[in-house]
Amino acid sequence: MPNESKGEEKSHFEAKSLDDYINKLISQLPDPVHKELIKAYQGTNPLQSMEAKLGKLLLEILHSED
Amino acid sequence: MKIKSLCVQGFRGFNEERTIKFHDRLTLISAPNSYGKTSISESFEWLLYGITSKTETADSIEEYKGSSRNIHFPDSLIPFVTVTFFDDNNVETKYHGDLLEGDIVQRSVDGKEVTCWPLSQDLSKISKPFVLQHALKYLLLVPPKKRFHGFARLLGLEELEYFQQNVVSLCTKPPIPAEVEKVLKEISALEARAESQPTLEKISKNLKKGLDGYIDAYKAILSECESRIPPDTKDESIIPELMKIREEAIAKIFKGKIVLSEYSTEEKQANTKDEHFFLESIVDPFINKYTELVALATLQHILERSEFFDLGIKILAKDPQKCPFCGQLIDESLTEHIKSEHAKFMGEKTQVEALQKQRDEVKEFLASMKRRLVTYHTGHNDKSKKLLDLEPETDKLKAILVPKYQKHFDEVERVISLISSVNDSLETSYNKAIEALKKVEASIIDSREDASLVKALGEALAEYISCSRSYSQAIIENVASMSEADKILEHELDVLAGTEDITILIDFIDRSNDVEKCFRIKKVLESLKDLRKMVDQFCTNEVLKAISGELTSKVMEWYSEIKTKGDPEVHFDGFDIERTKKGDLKARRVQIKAKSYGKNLVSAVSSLSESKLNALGLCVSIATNLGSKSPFEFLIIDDPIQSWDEEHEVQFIDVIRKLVELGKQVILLSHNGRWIDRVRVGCRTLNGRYHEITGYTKAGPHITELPWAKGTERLKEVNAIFSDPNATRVKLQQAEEEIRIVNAELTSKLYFKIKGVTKKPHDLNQSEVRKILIKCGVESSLVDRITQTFETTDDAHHASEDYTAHRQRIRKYHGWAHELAQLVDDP
Repeated sequence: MPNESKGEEKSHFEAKSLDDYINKLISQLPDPVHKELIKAYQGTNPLQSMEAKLGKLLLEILHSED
Repeated sequence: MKIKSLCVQGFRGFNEERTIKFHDRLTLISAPNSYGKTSISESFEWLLYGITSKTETADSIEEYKGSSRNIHFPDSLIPFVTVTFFDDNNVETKYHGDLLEGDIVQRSVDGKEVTCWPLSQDLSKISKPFVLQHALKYLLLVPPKKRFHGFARLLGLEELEYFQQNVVSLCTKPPIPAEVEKVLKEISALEARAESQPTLEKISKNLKKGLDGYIDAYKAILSECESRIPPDTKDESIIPELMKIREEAIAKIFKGKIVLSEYSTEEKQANTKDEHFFLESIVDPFINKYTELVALATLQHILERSEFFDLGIKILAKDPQKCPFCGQLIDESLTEHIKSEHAKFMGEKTQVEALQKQRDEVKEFLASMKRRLVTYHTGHNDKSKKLLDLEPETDKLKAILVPKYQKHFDEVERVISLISSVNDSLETSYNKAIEALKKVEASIIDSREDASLVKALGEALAEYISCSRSYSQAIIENVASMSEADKILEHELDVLAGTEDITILIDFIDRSNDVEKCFRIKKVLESLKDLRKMVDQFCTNEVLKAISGELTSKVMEWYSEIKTKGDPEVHFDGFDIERTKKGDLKARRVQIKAKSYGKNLVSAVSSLSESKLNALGLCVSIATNLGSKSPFEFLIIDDPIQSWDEEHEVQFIDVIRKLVELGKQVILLSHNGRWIDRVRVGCRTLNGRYHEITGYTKAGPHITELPWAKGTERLKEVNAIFSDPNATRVKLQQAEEEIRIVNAELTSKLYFKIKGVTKKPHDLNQSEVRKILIKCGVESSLVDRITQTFETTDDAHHASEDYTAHRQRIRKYHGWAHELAQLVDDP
């Protein structure tokens, strides 16, 4: 059989993992509250985790020392 | 991984079992519409991904439920798809999927059940090795947001897209805990009240700035307070001073509050304890203890006589011979008699003393019950005292609240009447209980204990507790409405007394910490808008990076492969994300750009022809497939040429060649038999496999493998090659290959002609060819010569890398092949 060259091995647009994207986003966020919220995006129901985190942050403000 | 074969039974268009073998470089499958061609690509999709893209992108998945199973397939059997893959070392692996109920795939690899395929990558992150027409339409001819989703899927960015959607959802409608919501509402109401007061304008202005205006707002509040109170008032006395001013002003209009006090949790628990005590005290053990005291009356004289005898015994001890009572001389027997009588009295005295102690205990118990009753009763009274004090003032109250708050006034009247009524019952039953208790106490003092008195006490207590429960229930039910009415009254009195601003100032000082916290909370909530924007821009930017740059240039490269010389200059010009006037990316809106003779068109979708869009869709699929790191080295292309003219159809054949040259195993399906023939001719030297679906019945598609090319065509080509003095080494090797293929095909035909046995030419190697030719009675020298043509290759028909074909040898081989052809009568 005639020898023929194979295609390029290098991948052109391999998607990163979601964690990589999230870490990159967190490094760009100036607000520490926003960083906390995005960090909370994990688990089987990540939206629920973020909502819980937001609720926790708001309650912490409400119950903070006068 | 490349595909060796596909075996399907009971799945989609396949009823009876069918097996299709694939060439390691190019396989063509030709079938008219509705002959089960798409079921072939769907078999691969379903096996690898558990779902076909048709079902995945359907508007109503319900309509596709149960459609994977062939309707004619027997219920007792399980449909399946088996794909045999092979790797670079020719090691085979069988991936098998059983279609179970509920469209579930039960997977196994080489006979062992697995929960997921043992592939190095997560399949959801890499491009699918399919180029399917309906998938292309879903990608391009849909609204920009759906297109964004399609591209995200194609580029393995679905998780990122889902993340973006979740963050947008959180930021758009953030869930706020009820406790926080309550405080926010209260402070908001306070701010609204301040805004309604012209004298507090400066405060309102600063409050509107939120956290930034908090300090100035409170400076203004303090300043307002100081303007209303004596100048040398200390800070800690500001609120009391203001309250005093307010109360004095209000008292001129109305005194009193609409108050029903709530029972605290501790009060409720204590009341329950008391009620149990009252109800469970007057029971048999106590009643018996009380009635036993009756005996005391009759035993009183024993005490007196025992005292008398005590004295007598003392006197007798000093002078045993004289009677202690009359002084006469007594003998020993009488002395003994006196002593024994004394002893008897001592025993009875102990009994009496015990009863006396019991009496004291009963008295103490009744006293403690009385104290407890009083405390319990007072506790209840306190709850309604203030409200009942309003009873004589209802006319004044009416003048203040009516007509604006008629409803609330009516409610206050109703509740006052109700509480008054239950309170009266409570008082009556309380007095009865106290009276009954006093009677029991008196009976003990008078030594006239009577069980009926204790029973009466028990009944009185039971009645009282019943009334107190009704009373507390009435309080509990009406606390909220009275609190609301009181707030309204407070507000109306403030208006009448001109003290609204004072009340607001008091509330602001009182709740200064809550105000600050609310501002901080609002700042966080407001900032979510910024977070949403940043996440939108970030995610959209990542997608933009993925679709523009490398993807766009690769798609352009493939697009230019399909373009023909005659094509007008109206073409696809890259991918982008729509932008706002400011230049910000518009979230999730993929644009497909196009140009007409150098000028930007509105969009490719609206400007390019269907054939160009089709071509673009193909190029996107090919580019993403080649660009992603996938374990699959095959590409299944289903009906790629739609609405194309002949020139473009031919152009695409070069694309197929190029894909094969890049190392892809291409499986091409088409309903266009004429075009498939052209592909065969154009890719003839690839010597792939060609299948035709010649019919379709209840049993499924009828698939026949046909020769890739006619023997005569091949031999003509061989002739042309060895006659060409400039033929390259590659061409000479190709010529030898053609001869081997012809010999294998001729051997297969001869076998069928002579022995009626079907053997696929692709499956024949040197020894098989030899055996068959011998069986067919071919003359031995020809057998030797024909088998000699296979000597330079292995069983997979591959020559060694350093092998060089010999022109003269090829000429000889060519002659031998003609000899064999004559035996077969192959034209």
